[in-house]
Formats: sequence, C-alpha cells, structure tokens
Amino acid sequence: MILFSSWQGEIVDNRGVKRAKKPKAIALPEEFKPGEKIKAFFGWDGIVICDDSVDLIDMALNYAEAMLKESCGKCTPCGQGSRFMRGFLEKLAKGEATKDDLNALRSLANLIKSTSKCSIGQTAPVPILHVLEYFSEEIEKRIASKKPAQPGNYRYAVTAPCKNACPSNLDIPRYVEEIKEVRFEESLATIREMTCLPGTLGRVCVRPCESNCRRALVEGPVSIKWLKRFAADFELEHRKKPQILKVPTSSGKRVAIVGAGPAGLSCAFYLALKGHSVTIFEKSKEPGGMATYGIPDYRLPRGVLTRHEVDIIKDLGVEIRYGVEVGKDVMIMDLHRDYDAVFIGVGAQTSAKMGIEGEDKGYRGFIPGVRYLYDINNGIDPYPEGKRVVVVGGGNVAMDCVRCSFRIGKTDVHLVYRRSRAEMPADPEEIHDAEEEGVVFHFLCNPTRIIEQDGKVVGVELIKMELGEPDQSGRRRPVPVPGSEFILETDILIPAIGQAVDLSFLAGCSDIKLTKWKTIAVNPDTFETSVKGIFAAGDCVTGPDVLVRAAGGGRRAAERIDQYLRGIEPGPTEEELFDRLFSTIKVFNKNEKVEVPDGMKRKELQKLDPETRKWTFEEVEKGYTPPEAIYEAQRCLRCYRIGMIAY
Amino acid sequence: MPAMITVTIDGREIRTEPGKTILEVARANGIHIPTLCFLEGLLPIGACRLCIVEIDGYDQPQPSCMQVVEDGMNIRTDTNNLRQMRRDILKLLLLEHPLDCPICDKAGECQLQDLVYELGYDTKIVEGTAGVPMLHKPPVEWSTIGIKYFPSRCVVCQRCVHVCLEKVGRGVLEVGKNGSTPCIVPAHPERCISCGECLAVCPVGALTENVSPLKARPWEKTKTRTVCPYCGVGCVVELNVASDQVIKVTTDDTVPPNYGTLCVKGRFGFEFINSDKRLQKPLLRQGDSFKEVSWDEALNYVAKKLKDIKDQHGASAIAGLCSARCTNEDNYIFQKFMRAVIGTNNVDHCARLCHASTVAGLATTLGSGAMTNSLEDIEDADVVLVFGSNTTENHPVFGMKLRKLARMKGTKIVVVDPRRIDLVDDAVMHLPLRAGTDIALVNAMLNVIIREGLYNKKFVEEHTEGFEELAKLVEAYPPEKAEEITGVPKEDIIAVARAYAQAERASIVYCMGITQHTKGTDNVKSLSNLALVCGHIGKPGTGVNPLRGQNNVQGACDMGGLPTFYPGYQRVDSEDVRRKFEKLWNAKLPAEPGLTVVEMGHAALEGKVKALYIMGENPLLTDPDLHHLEEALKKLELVVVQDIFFTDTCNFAHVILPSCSFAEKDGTFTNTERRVQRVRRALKPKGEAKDDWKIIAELSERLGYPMFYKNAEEIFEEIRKATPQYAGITYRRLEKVGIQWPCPTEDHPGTPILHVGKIARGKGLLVPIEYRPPKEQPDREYPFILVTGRSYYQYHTGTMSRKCKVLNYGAPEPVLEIHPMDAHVLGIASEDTVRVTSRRGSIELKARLSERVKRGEVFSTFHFNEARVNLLTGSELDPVAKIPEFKVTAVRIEKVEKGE
Repeated sequence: MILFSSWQGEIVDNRGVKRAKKPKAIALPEEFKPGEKIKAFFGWDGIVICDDSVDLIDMALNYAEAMLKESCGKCTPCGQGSRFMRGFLEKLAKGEATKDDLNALRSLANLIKSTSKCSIGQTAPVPILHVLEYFSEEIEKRIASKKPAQPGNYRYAVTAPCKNACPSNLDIPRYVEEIKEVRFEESLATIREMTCLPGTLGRVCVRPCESNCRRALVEGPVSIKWLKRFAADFELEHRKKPQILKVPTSSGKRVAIVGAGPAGLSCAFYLALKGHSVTIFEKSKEPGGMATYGIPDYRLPRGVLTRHEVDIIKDLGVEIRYGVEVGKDVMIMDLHRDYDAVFIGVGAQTSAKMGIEGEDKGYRGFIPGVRYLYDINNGIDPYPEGKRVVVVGGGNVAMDCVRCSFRIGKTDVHLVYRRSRAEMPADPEEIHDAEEEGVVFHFLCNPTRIIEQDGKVVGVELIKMELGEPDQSGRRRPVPVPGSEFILETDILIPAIGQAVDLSFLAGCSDIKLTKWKTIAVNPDTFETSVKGIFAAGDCVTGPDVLVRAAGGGRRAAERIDQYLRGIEPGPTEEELFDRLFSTIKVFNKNEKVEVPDGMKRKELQKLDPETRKWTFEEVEKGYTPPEAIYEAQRCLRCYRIGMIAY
Repeated sequence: MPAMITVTIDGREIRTEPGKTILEVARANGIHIPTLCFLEGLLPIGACRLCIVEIDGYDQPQPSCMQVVEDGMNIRTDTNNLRQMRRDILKLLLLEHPLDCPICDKAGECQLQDLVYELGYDTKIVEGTAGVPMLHKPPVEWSTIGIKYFPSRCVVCQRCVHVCLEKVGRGVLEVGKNGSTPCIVPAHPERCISCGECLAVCPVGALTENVSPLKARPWEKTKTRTVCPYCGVGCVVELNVASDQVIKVTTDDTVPPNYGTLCVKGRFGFEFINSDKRLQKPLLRQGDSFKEVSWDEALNYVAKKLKDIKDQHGASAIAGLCSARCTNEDNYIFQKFMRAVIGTNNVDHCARLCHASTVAGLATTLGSGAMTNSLEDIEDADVVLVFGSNTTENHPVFGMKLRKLARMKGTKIVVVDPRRIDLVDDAVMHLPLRAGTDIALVNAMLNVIIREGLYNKKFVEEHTEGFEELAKLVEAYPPEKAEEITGVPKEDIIAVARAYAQAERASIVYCMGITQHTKGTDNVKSLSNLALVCGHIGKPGTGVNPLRGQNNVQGACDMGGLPTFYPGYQRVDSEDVRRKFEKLWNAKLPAEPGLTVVEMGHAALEGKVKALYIMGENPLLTDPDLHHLEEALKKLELVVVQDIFFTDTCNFAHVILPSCSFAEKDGTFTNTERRVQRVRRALKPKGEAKDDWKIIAELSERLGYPMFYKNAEEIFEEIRKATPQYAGITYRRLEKVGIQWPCPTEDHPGTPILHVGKIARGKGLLVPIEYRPPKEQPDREYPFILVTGRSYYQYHTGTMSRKCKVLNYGAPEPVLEIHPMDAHVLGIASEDTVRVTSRRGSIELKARLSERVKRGEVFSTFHFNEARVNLLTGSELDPVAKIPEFKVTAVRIEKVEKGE
C-alpha cells in the first residue's frame, strides 16, 4: 500500500486514512526482486512512500549522495552545489541543523533545479524539496529534538527515457554527449559497450528511443539513430582501429552459436570479450542473417555489417563456419555434447501465411516477401518476366519489397494493406519514401483469392475493409465489406504480412521445449531453454521482432552464458532489475511541459532524389557531416535521472 | 539569405538572422550578459550558467549561450531575479576559492575577479552560507614541463577541455573528480603536445605558465606584437616583457594567420632570447681559439680580407649565405652588399635545401613560385591532399587547423607519406608510398582522372597547355603499375584520384617530402599537373600549396637571396633588369648567375671560392654530405659568421659577429602564404650585438660604399622600389594585420589567392614527366632507406630551440625511428645505441622502435650536432633547382655493443 505519493505533482496522502487512494501517476511494484519489498521510491518526479519505517531525512541524504556521485561536474550549479546540498543534509541527518540551514538548503536546491545544465541537476533536487515541503512538520520536530537519523538500506540506478526504451539498453545520453564534445571515437566505444552493430542499427533501427525523447516534446526528437550511424561511419571512413576493451586471457570454455544474425553475432562478440572461445554455425555464405538477407542495400549497404562489423567480431577470435546447416550438417545435440554451452540465435525466416485460396499451389509469380528479398539481396530477380507487383502487408518488410521492386526494374508497384495509413506498423519515414518513389497504396483492402492462368499469377481479388472496434493491440479491427470485391491485375503477388520461425534445425532434439506460438521457450531471467547449457534469444524466442531487440537479447544471453560457464547461477543484474522497475514506473511522460524554448529544429539527413534513387541500390540516406552531427547532439537534453529505492 | 526575425531583448526590438544564440545577438547589439565559460570560436560550453536570461512563456531561466533565438521571443537579460541567481551561482564558485589573489599570476587579468566586481558580493551571500560545511579540497595538482594546474583556483569552466578538443584536436583534458569536487584531469597525457592552448584560455589562475621564473603584474608588463621566429606559418605573437626580459608569449585571437593559436615553440620557445650563451661581442680567431675584439677591429679585419681576396682572385671568389631567419631588410641589404659592393651573384641561402624545387617548378608551370592560396582558405576545401608534409610537427599551427577541419568540418584529408605520421589519425586515407616514388603515384592518379573523364575539361581547354602530351604519357601509368612502383594498393590510388577530382574544392599541401629529391622540381611539376587538370586552382580551398619551412624563407627568396634573382624574382641575366638595379643601387652589377649553396662548397674545395660570408645560417648541420663541406670550409681564407649563438659553423670561422635576435629587431618577415608581417623590437640588443643589416652596412662603408639607412623602415621603402610585389606595402599598413603579396599599389588589399581567373603564366603548363627512381637505392651493403626531417619540439639546427627547457624536454636527443620488425631482425631494442652508415659517413644514436616508419625505412631528424644526420646524406642534386636528395639515402644499421 502506498502511504504517500507526490509523483508528478499528484499528492496522495494515505497516512491515517481508512480508505487508501491509489495514485494515478505511478504504478509502483511491491517488490524489487523476489522477497525484497520496496519501502519507498525517490525519483525525478517526486517521492513515493510505502512503509513508515523509512527515515526520509536519511533517504534524502542518501539520494543527495547519489546525485553528488552521478553529477558530471560540467556545470556550476550541480557540479559545485550538490556538494553543499549534501553537506546541509548531512547536518540535518546528524541532528545539528538549524532553521537557517533549512532555508539555505531549500534555496540552494531550487537554484540547482532551475539553473543546471542537464536533468541530473534539474531533477535530483525534486525529491529532496518534496521531503522538505510535505514532511516539514516531521523535520521541524527532528531539528528541535536534535535526534540523528536512522540509517536505512537503499539502492539506486541512473536511467533516461531513451535509455530505458532501448531494447539494447544503450547509454544514449552519454554517446550523444560524446559526439557533442567532438569525442567521436569515445562515443563509438560507448555504443560498443552495449552493441557490436552500431553501423547497422544506426541505419535500420526502429528507434524506440526517439519516441521516448523529451526533445520530441519541444520540436522533434534527437536523431539518436543517425548519430549512432555517424559515430560508426566516422570510424569506418577514417579507417580507425576500434577502441575495444582488450580481450582477456582465454577462459578455456567453448561456446557454439547457431546463426550469424544480429542475436548470434552480438552473443559472440560479448562472449569473446569475456575470454570465451566462440564458433558460429551459419547456413548461408554470408553473415548477418535477416539483417543481410532481409534488408536491402539501399537501406543498409552490404559492407557495413558483413564486412566491417563482422570483421571486428572476427578480430576478437570468433570463428564463423559458413555453409554449415544445423539440423542437417550438424545436430544441435552434437554441439551440446562438444561445447561447453550452446546459443541459438536463429531468426524468423519464413513468411506467414495469408490464409487465402491458391496460396499453396506454387503459382509462378507468387513469392513470399522474405523469399523475394532474399533473392534480390543475392542479386537475383526471382521472376524477371513479371513487371507488375502487388505486395500485401503494412510492415517494414512490405516496404522493403515494394521499394526493392523498382530497383530491380519492376514498373508497376502496388501495396495492399487492410487498415488505414495511420495503423501501418512500418516506419513513417519508409512509407513516405516509398510514396515519393511512386508506390501505389491501397488502404483498407485485403486479398481474398489469387487469379491464375496457366499456373501463373495474373491478378488478385481484393475486398474492401472498414475499421471496427479496437482489438487487443488497441488498433481498430478491419472488417470486410460484403460484396465489395474487385480485381487488381498483377504478375507478382507478394505476401509480407509477417514472418515465422523455421524450427527444422531442432531436428532430433525434442528436449527443447516450444511455446504455443512455435518459438523456443526460455526462462526470461536466464535465457536458458529447457535443456541445461542451451540458451536462446532473438526472433526464435520472441517471434518476429526488431533487430535491436535481437541484438540486445544476444548480448544479455552472453552475460548469462558467461555466468553459467563460470559456475554462477545465471540471473538478471541489479541494473536490469532497475530497468524493469523504471519501465513499469515509466521514465517518459509525454504530457510533461519541457522548459526549453524551441528553435533548434531536428537535422534531417540528405537523401538521394526519389527519381534517381528508386532505380538503384545505392544508399538513399547520406550520413551526417561532423557539424550536422554536433548540432544534432547539442539538441540532447541529457535526461539522466536517478531512481532510488529503500528496502 | 534566410528571412530576418525580430526578438525583443530588454525591451529593445532587434532584427536578426535566425539560428543565432541569444548571447550572440545580445553581444552584437551591445547588450552585456555576464559569462565565464563562453569563448568565441568554440562551441558553447554551457558550464557556468551565469549567462542565464528570462524568456516569456518559460518559468525557468535559459542559458543564452546555447539557446537559439526564435521569432517573437521576448528576452530579459537583467532582472533582480537573474542577478540574485547569478550571485548565488558565483557564490558556489567562491565558497572554496582561495582568495590568494595577491600571489596569483592572474590577478588583475582574472575574469572571476571581474565578475565578483560586476555582480557584487553582498553580505547576504555570506550570511546565507554561514552554515555550509566547508569541504576541504585536497591539493592534487598536476603540471607539465610548461603548464601548472592549481585545482583550488579552478572554476571548471572547461574552456581548456574544449580548446584542446576543438582547436587542437587532442582531447587531453577531461572533467574529473577530486574527491567529490569537479576538477580538470589530464585523462590522456600521452596525447599532450604542450601547445599551451589550455593555458591561454584559462579565465582564472588555475592553469599557469611554468617556464619563466620571472613574473610580473599586468601593469608592469609591456606587450610587443611581432612574429614568431620559428616555422613558416608566421604566427603573430605578443612578447610580454618585464625588466627587459621576455617572460611570456601571448597572441591575438583576431588576426591571421594564427588567430590566437600557438604551438609549443611559439609559446614556450622564448628562453633562448635571454640565454647567457648569446654572442655579445665580436670574436676574432687566434690559432685554435677566439678572442673578443671591438667592432672596429673585427669589421676592419673583415673589410681588409674581403678587399684583398677580391683584388687577388676577383669578386667571384667571394660567396655569401643570407638567411631565412633574418628579416627582409637584413636579407635585402645582404644581397645588395654582395652584388653592388662585392660584385658577385654568389648569394644563396638554405631555401636551396628546402624549396628551391618549388620556386623552379611552380614558376615554370604557373608563373609564380609561391604558395598559391592562404593558410586560412584551406577551410573551404572539401579534400586536402597532404604530400610529404608532416604538417602537425613541422607547421604545427597549420597542422592543428587541418586536424580541426577533419574533425569539426569533415574535410577529407589524404596523407601521402612513407611514414605513418600523426596526421594519418585524422585522415580518410594514407598512401604510404616508397620514398621517392611520388611521380609514379601522381601519374597513376592522372591516369585514372583522365581515363574516367573526371578532369575539368573546360578549365583544361581555357587555362592550360600540353594536355595531349600529358594524357599520352600517363597512359603508361595504370594504377597497377603504380602499385608495383610505390607499394600503394591500386584501389587506394583510384579512390584518392576520384576523391580529389570530384571534390568541389580540393587543395594540395606539400613540403620536403616532395622537394628534397633529385627529382624535386619534377615532383612539384607533377603536383601542378594534378591541380591544373582538375581545375583546382585560383579559388578558395584549392591550389598547390608548398609549406615553407622557416619564418622568413619566403622573404629571403623574395629579397633576392638567390644567385639567379634580384629582389622580386627578377632575373640577374636579364639586361633590362640589371640596368634597373644598377641605377637603383648606383653600382656596376655582375651579369652571370652565382653559385648555389652546395656549389659554393664544391667551388671552395676546388679553390675557386676563397671567402664565405654567412649571416644567420648553420650549414654544418643543414647541408648534405658534411664531411665534404668541412673539408671545403677548412680551405677557405676567410669565413665570417654573423649569428646570435656560437654554432657548429663558428668552429670554422675566422671572424664571428654578434647579431640581434628577432626580439631585438625591427623589420618584416614574409610567411609561407606570402604575408608580409611586422617584426618589432621588444628588447634592447644583447651586449654589443647589432642588427644584421647594420653590421653589413658598416662593413659596406669600410669597403667604400656607404649605406645611409636610419632604420629598418627606410630599407623597406627601398625594397618597395626594388620589388614590384611589395610596392604597395608600407609599415603603416602592416600595423595590425600583414598583407599578402603581390600588392602593387598602396590601395591594393593584397592577394590571398594567386591565379584567380587566369594563371599568372598565361596558361598553366602541363608537363609530362616520366618516373625515375631516386639516385640511391638500397642494396646488400646499404639495405635501408634513411629519410630525414624535423620533430615537433625542436627546430632546424637547434640553435634556438635547444636553449629552451620545454622544447628540450619534448625532444631531448637524436633518435633513429626503426620498424620493430627490422629492429628485431637486427637484434636492436628501444634505447639501444645504433650506428648508421652511408657511403659518406657514419653516426651513432639511440634507436626508437616505431611503426610510424615502414619496414626497410628509417627516420631521423637533423637538429642534433651530436648525431649529424647530414654526414650521411649525399650531395646529388636536382639538375634544375640544385636541391640535394635529403629524403633518400641508402644506409646500413648496426647495433653498437656496450664498451665498443
């Protein structure tokens, strides 16, 4: 039960009240980890107290100490003032403070809050001021009694809205600040602490961080993705050696990894950095998995991932065996026998079925989206005679399919989506670019039947849809309009409505349990499958998902595998537990009034002109120049904030 | 032009361009906002928070240095609330700031003092803080040889951090913690180049100069603006003088060429001026030693000897070396003396050893042998090819600029150099060619550019001649062939060729790596071919830009310190020109060109030259094949050395005459970008030392040709008459900013860029040039190639730089850079003494294992007389420019066993 909350200015005071009210602004979990109750929470938007045994003055002192530790020292109010603030609170905690001290503390906290450069200084005084404001009577009593405070147990962590939203948990404010300070190499090193695919993610990430960017509440989010790309490109362009932590001496442990996609590569990289010997088994001839075969070159030029980033991983001693298919050339249980641990990082490589007539007939011209992209990325036009294309779906794969079509010389390109534009899951930028390139969109339509002649696709029957009540995903459910069928002529029909995991590699291994969604079941805290020593992450666990989550999963799994190999019980770190806590509390408040005047518009990337680019696989977007990157980085508000629990 | 916007600041409506910060707009309109961390030319730091202002619609104050103006913004910069906040912020800095102002170097110039004075220090502040527990700052200090940090005085404004990052491109400093107190820490001391930029921007006494033992209050100092005496960049410096001693060097942020930047030599290389080793009296040889004599005795002796030799052997038995270190006025008088009084064109100087090939090469192809563009306009370049120039070490301030542009602007730098020099870190590409194979590389680039049609057809048609012949020749240089010759992968050659040709603006910067070859002149012409074919000339950010090595090497050439030219590159073998000078100088002048530096040595050995007059040069370290030169000097009847120190060359002198250092002189220097700048006297001459020109003038009088100049300016007035390029320049016009020649009239602004609209020669000459290997090739007996050059900390023959503490600390002794693999094969470890032997001689020095050099190549500098590298080099000359091949010498390396 919450005794008191001042979160986001909503005062809920249940002290001495019979019917406790629940605050709307915050949903604080009861426990931090199993068996550890959260007695109080101090954070950027206020204080929440669940247990009256917490000594608020002591907690305020500890919070001030955390602030002092986290203050970077780069501005006067926070860098210098936080020491004095801590000093006052120490006096108060010792029972030596006077009323004058209290006044001085209040005005100092206010000064730091309103004049500091970043959110550490702007938000850390908040819980302290709330204690002074809402518990003034208690404090006055304490001053009068000269009693010292009761020391308690506390934990804290630093987060930021963007960082908390990132599935790979990149320290975004830090790497952005390093770009702002012209420390480009350091910035990339910061990124590499959390992902080994900066150039790839810097191009194709779906950037959940940017939707959690406080600058978005001013004039547009900071281009976190493009800044990442800039840092990666700067190294590549200057042929610099990456600043990577030295590989420690060999642990003597060997790990086998299935699949050289984002999850497998990430897992390999971080395992290698811990001194383990890693071998990746990859059925294709090139690394990258779905990032290579599923993403066209105009968005992610082949060399960025398959040469540069993979070379760095190989330089750490990781071996990649190409052309070896697990489940056929080598069995997963053999790997389990021969290696100290196994990691499965297989992607979602088959297309989901539309469930319409003719889908399984093998008509010429019916090409599943993933297959279509795979061929194109291998330099093959899967159906050269076909010139008219209809793609079904509203996600990024559908976008890739339509945009690739022009680039292999298709003249007539249509996209069919069953909801309206607003519901499309694809990146709005992609939709815009596709539109510019001349793709014809048919919204609120769904295929019902393939029209075929002599075993070849000649068209598709579509039915019009309208939007009904919202479904589980919160989007309005499309409902067919009876009798509205019409025919769209085409040579090629491409379903791109979703992907599925091809689990045939598990042949002969029934011990690995699956979920009802036909993915591999793992313990979310350990990434371990039902077989001890076999771990998994990425799309084969989550189902089709974004690259950044697969990469993040690969890295986290590496940490667990390292624990496992060292004989430690695998489990989440305190930092991860805090991330979960912060996700529940929500670090980003989209209703916040950000006290920053606008004026620094987001710097967009230059793009090739649509008429030029639609016929070539040359990269569409040109990266930032250093002045553009520095400017964009200057827009960052450095929204670090400290969350502390008493337990 | 973007649409103008209107903002209101303190009730005043102001029209301004968008995109500016509030602080910029306020300052431009005379509205004062207090700041401590802000520094013009750096990105806003936003540390001090004193520049906060109030903006309508926002509850919180906003930092004016970072906030951009928006149309309709209503801003207040000075309210009671803001004042109180500013005082409170200042209080946070002052609470623990030691009030040691009486002993602080910065007192009187301290911006913290000024702010306290401005914002007030009311008693309320003191009352309010009575209860604050004072935290003791532990006295963790750090210092370099030239800079000392006092953490307790530091206000953590981070100007030092940012200037090091943004201007110098080093990133040595970071904000750290001293306990819980923020402070500045040298996080990457290995990157520090002791340039002292951090020191220069510190607003308080936290970073102080650690060199001069003598200190002075601001009002006790005089500042004299003059020009740095080291490299050819020609930075403007202010000598801070107290008690007739230079105690510090500062500069001026607002003037070219350095805009407030200095390197280690400029900032800390001034101790030689006050050195007690300075020559103070004339010396006359007596057997194996020298005796101090009066000026009269010395000058009479020299005059008599010169007259005797001339009478006996003719004027051509006398030769003179003028100096790239002396002023234009000194050099002008020297060459006039040689020509008009002695009657010979035997006058040359060490420009012969550095850029003679430039003067010859560019004069042929473009019609002017100087840097085509300005140092500043490199900012407009998109691509810069750096050929054989270790820019960050030899022209540090320009090197910093390149670094800065690479990082801050994204300028693409390509380094073409056998060694992996520091600039490679900031380059997009490094072409580590084999020493002396430049022509093959450039021809291959031309091959790609012409074959792929990337050249500037319009420019080639309108402004060049000889394209067909050049195109035909380079057909024989496909990148594959160049790869074989140069060792550079052909993909890289192709990539660089495309990048250069396709750039909107591309510049070529080059130095000794191009010129100091027996094919030096051809190398220069090759680069000129490249620029002309692509039309990268006559515009900002383009050109063919030789970096001149010494402070006044450009000027010494301009002044006619060359055996073939009168001042202004007017040929001595031209009848008309000679008549003009005969009239101007009222003397009969010799018609035949004189001897060059190396030829003088040969002639002396052959007995054709009997006397050598050396003004401010030290050939016993700079010239090639020194054994040969020593023999030559020994044969001479008269060697006169005029210098500020007793150099190695003095050992061979008969008379030594003490002259003034740059700090004691009035006159002008001309820097590498043809900028004529004023040199001003800051100190009294040391002892009996005299101005170089004055010594020559007094000698001239004794030889029956009185020279009546009251001061340097009078000489300059004559220079203007003699040198068309200088005609419009006057001392008055040089008062604040130097002027770039050609400047034909007094209302002409000078010429930052040559060949605008039209190549000076008329049409640029494209010269087909075949590649030929350097004269010396490694063989079984001499398997290594020795490359010579300079280091960042030392300068030239060390005469000045080795008298300075900071510089000696940076580079205390000669070393041989050798690749670790080669060293391993030879059983050599770092710090081992090695013997380097060429066909001409042998030296011993310490080995330094370094991957900067390639396998098979070694590198050393020529600064040190304990290991004279030029004992090894050969005197094979470029047939046109007569420059020796310093860059390629075949040598053998052996480890010297202890006790040997």
